Amino acid sequence: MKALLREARFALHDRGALLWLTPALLLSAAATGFGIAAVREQRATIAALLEEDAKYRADALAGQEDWGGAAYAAFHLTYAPPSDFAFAAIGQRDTAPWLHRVRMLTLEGQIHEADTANADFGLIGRFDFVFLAATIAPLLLILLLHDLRSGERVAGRHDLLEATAGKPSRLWLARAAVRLAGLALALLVPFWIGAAIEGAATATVLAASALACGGLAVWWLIVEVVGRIKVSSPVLLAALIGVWLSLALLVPAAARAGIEAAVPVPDGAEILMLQREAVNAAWDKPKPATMEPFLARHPQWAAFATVEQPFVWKWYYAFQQVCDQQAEPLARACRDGRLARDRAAGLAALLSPAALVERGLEQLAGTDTRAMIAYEDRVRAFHADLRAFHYPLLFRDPPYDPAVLERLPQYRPAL
Amino acid sequence: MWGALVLAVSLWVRQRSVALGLLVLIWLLVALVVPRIGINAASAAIDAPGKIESDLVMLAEQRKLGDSHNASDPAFEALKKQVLDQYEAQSIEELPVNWRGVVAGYSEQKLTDLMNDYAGRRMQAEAAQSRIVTWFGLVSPTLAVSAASRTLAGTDLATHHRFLRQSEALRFDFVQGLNQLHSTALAYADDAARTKDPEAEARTRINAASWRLLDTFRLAPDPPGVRAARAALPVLWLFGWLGLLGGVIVIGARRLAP
Repeated sequence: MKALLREARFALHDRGALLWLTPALLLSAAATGFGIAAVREQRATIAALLEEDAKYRADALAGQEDWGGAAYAAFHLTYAPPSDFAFAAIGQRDTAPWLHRVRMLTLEGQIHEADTANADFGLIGRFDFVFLAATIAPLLLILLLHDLRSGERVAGRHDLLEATAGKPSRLWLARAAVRLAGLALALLVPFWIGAAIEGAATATVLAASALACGGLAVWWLIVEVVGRIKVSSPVLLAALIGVWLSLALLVPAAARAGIEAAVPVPDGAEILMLQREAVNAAWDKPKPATMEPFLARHPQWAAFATVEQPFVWKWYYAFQQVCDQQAEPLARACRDGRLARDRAAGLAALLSPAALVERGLEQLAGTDTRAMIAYEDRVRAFHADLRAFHYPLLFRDPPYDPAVLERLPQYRPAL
Repeated sequence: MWGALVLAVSLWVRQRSVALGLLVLIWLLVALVVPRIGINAASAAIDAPGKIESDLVMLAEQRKLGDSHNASDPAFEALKKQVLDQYEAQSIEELPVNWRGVVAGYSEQKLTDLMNDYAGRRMQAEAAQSRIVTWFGLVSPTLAVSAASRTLAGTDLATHHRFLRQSEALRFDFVQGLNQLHSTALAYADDAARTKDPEAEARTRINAASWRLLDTFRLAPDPPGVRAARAALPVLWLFGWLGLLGGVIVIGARRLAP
């Protein structure tokens, strides 16, 4: 304990150490601030759209005269609100959609008609706490720790220090521990303040802090092992930067490229196209070609399913559903493919401490691939509720009564 | 640029490890941190609403234009009066053209103007965001290089927007071609009875050959001169960096000389 305090006093006067700790503190404050701003903007967007959506739906339903028209006109907003911890890891929310407006038509095309953001943005990525903790912090740690021994060696104090310290390993351990703790505090203090502002759950914040510290500890081990080599500090630093470059940047990038080549995922646009063509073709098909596959899934409507006119709503919605059935294999391949890529990325992350920390934090924040797919599944479940609500009205065709539509299913986001 | 930077640092800094540390820090900031902060700053400074957000605002406005699938919508009364006057007819049944087709064409025109207006605004917002990111190229040559090379290769945001505009123009011409056919080749009486009477429905179908109106579409890249002009700003910054570092090197070398 005394050794630790002494080393802490030393560190406070060590300009080299402070030189690396200050940017860590500033970057952490910036990352947290930007993260909170981004998450707040997303929440504000959702709140504004919810209001607009309700207004628009009421407006659209007001002029309707039949069940089919009402089902056609009513859009429903579905959304995945950012979690209380999402400020630290925006993750997949920049690339996967978290906002949809769906209606009673074919669903898969609506899910994959993404709400596009600025195309330039996805290319570079954001500067959030995850990026700082997983990628930048290890480099700062390397810069802090690389010359512990070799610096003293250059100054000619190394052997003297080892001789006077009694147990030399303890000296180096205390010195490294103080610097590691300094870096961890510089990173975590702004992050904790941000978490308090956002009201993030304490357990999540503790888990995230442990993860970030664990990641740094692994890098410390790497520095320790490489530091045993007896070379001058610039050579050692160059070697450590090489290790960092490969483990934190090259391995994840290579793994991503390899996984994308190895696990094919059908394009969302393919699903969109298939559905468009299926819907266009359905208009010209004989009615039984639509009603038979529809009744195979919904036998309860068989008694109401005769279609005698060129256009009736129940046939129209039946072919919308059948087009979803046609797209099912492709949609499932897309969903499974993305999950398979995610699993493979999880395995590949074992090779890179940076990727492990990143995935762990995104999981805590609910911004990983699985969370985004879970959201899409919620949209599917909601759409199924919509169909279950409308089919009795369309097939039994009771007299139109707008009051019934007040009981339209409401989308509820996951908590 | 990087070569010049390395030379400049090695001229000014005496200790090897300090020089290496300094270079690594500069690289870290310039190549990894600044571009991402540029993205954060751009998205925080300018709110480019997503498609759903701008659609909702737009749809509210669209309802004022009338429902193009419902030709008896009151929003079309003025148009009706004008078309009846033009053909000197008393009612829409007497018109030599199909009233529903006229409404569809009119609404398509109005709606497209509105949507293009909104799409234009969104593209402007995105372009403004990207301009902010490009300004960050002032402190990050990495960003300037990537912006310049994307622009020169014709894979930048401006080219993407041009593709969106051109495909929309193609779609509009095609749909208006079909709406024209709808007005002239389909009888209003058949059209009105279409949903109830299969024979009328059969008469309201138009020949598949009409779909040939759709031209094949190919996006031609901007001429090299235009792309080079667009890339001028980031390229200028790169030269600015080179000039600055060149100055630092010259001064550093003079200092070393005596």
